[in-house]
Amino acid sequence: MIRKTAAALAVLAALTGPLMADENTIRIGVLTDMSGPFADIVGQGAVESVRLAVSDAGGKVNNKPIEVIFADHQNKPDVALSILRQWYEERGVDVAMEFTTSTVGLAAQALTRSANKVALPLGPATSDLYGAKCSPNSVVWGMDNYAFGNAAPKVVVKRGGDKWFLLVTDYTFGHQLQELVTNLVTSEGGKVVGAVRHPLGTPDFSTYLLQAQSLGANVIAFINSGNDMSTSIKQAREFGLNTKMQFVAPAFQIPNALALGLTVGQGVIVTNSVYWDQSDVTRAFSKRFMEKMKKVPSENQFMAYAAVQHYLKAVGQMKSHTDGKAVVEQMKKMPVSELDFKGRIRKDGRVIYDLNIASVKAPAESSGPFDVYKLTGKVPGDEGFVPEDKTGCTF
Amino acid sequence: MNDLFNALLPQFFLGLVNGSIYALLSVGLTVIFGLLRIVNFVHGAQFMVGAFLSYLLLVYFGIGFWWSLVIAPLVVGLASAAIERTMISRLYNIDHMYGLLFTLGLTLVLEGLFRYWFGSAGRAYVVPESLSGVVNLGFMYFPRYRLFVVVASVVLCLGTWLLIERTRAGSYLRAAHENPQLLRTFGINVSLLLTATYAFGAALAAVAGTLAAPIYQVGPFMGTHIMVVVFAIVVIGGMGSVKGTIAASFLLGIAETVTKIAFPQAASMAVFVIMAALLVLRPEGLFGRQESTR
Repeated sequence: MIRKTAAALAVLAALTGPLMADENTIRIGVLTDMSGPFADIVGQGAVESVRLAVSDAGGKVNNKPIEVIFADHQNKPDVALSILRQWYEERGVDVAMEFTTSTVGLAAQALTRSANKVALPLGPATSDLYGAKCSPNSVVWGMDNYAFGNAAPKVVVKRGGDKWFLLVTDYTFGHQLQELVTNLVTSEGGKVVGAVRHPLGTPDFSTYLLQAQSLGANVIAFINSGNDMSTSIKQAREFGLNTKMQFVAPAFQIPNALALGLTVGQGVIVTNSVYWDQSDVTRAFSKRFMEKMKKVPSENQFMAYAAVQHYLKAVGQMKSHTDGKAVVEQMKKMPVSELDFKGRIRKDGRVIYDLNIASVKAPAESSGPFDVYKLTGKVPGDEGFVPEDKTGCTF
Repeated sequence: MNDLFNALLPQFFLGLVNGSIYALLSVGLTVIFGLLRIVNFVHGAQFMVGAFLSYLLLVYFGIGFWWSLVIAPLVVGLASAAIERTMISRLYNIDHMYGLLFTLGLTLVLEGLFRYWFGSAGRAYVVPESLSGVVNLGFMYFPRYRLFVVVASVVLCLGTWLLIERTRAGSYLRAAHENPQLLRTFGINVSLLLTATYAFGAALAAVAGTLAAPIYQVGPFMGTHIMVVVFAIVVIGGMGSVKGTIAASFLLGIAETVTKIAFPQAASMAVFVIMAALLVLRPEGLFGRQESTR
């Protein structure tokens, strides 16, 4: 009996025991929100995108097989760090990606640097990832506060929206974006007539919306995200604000449009990094993605594919992939041309690509459940992100 | 003075709308607690399921708002009756903690399922055609639908109060709470009474869900967000007191809205500050009766 138990334990230990980092396998770890509020934007869809990129590379690079693993960090930095530590020290993971939120992103980026692996943040929206807290082991793909707040508002002021009311979520993300939008609107010749900060998870926004109405604003900016954004846009429409104001939602994403529906969401002006219906390339990718996920990819899910493809191309040029810093240097040398992301990677790790200005279609303009955006303009990548000399990045 | 009045009156009306949803939820919760002595943590999920059922009825069967207002509570009520019969009824005679844990667990399961099916961003339910648009109240334009919610909630809450305080069925319920053994000797089926009460409370939550669907975003976690406030309201109104709960719901709905103008960042805290203060000054709640220690 004891012998049997011992044998079973030995087998178990062999199965679960440490897999040392080895030269012969490339391991990609997707650390994401699988079940929380951001699961639609990243989550399982991001994992599927990564798998598509790996299978398009033939499942191996330089004859080394590629493995994809993923885990749910529950949006908690401590959970994320303990998973990541295990990945790097025991599972032999070479590149970790996604991270979803800024807190997780900053923590993961720091640990990746000390372990000399590669980090590819997609979801985190803080520009600190390539600014004050930048790392030579990171390539930052995701949209950030600056890009969200910079592109759409500029266009709206130019189109005549000069009296702004800002509805701001009351934490760092909202505060930073509020400051940015305020400066931008003022410098473009507009005026911020009022701003209000609301707690995260507010179910009713009517009080704030009435304020916007009484202040005579002609633009209302929804500087929030997720459910708060959906609810506030829906209620603004209920109170008829759409008859007097343009709606701008800088951090709006495709899943928001799908959740709101076009009847409620129509006319909202957004900053967009990539849209499934923008070219043959994106349409072809979306079709493959939909076979698995039954919906079109979100912006971050597009990026998951692009980021891995670019990483694997770089690794293909190198003899060894275990030195994270060297891999990132190689990536920075190579131009970016994955899906419709065309540009380069700056020294600070920022990926530069062009942005779209889009507005949500009215139901009559839409030809199907996923036909949600009308692309109305482009912003060159170098204008979209924080200029290289202003990030304050030093390695 | 007139200016201040003009500024506050619209907010007062907005507060009434939130108060209406709070009232429907907290009345159901307090009725269940008052009679079954179960802290029904799954109430928020029943609210959420009610909202989702209305959404599904509309999208998949083309059944509009008015029928949903009947069908959703019926379905949730029947399902809850089955849950009470098979599971919750086993918890009456053991520590309250088990009821709390069980209903909390059930909430997590339901929320997880709906998140799996519909995603965390949820879905939007459009205001029914017959109630869309705004009404001119003289001092403000008010969405017609929100006025309807206030009226519907007041009618349902008063109805519930009358049912419990003024009818024979209500007297049985109160008796079942005071002394179930005695009531049994009169030939009343007490366990059926408890099942019916639970189903009724859950159905009220589903009505609230259907009413809330056009106002809030229909999402898997909509119940959790609102229940935290509703629990505080039940405590403020006095656990188990229907009258107190209704009054507290509307008062706090208004207090919350006023805080939103005076100090927006504190809006979600206002209810809890009031609760804490009240617990210090009057632990049994606004209208609660002090229970003799057993």
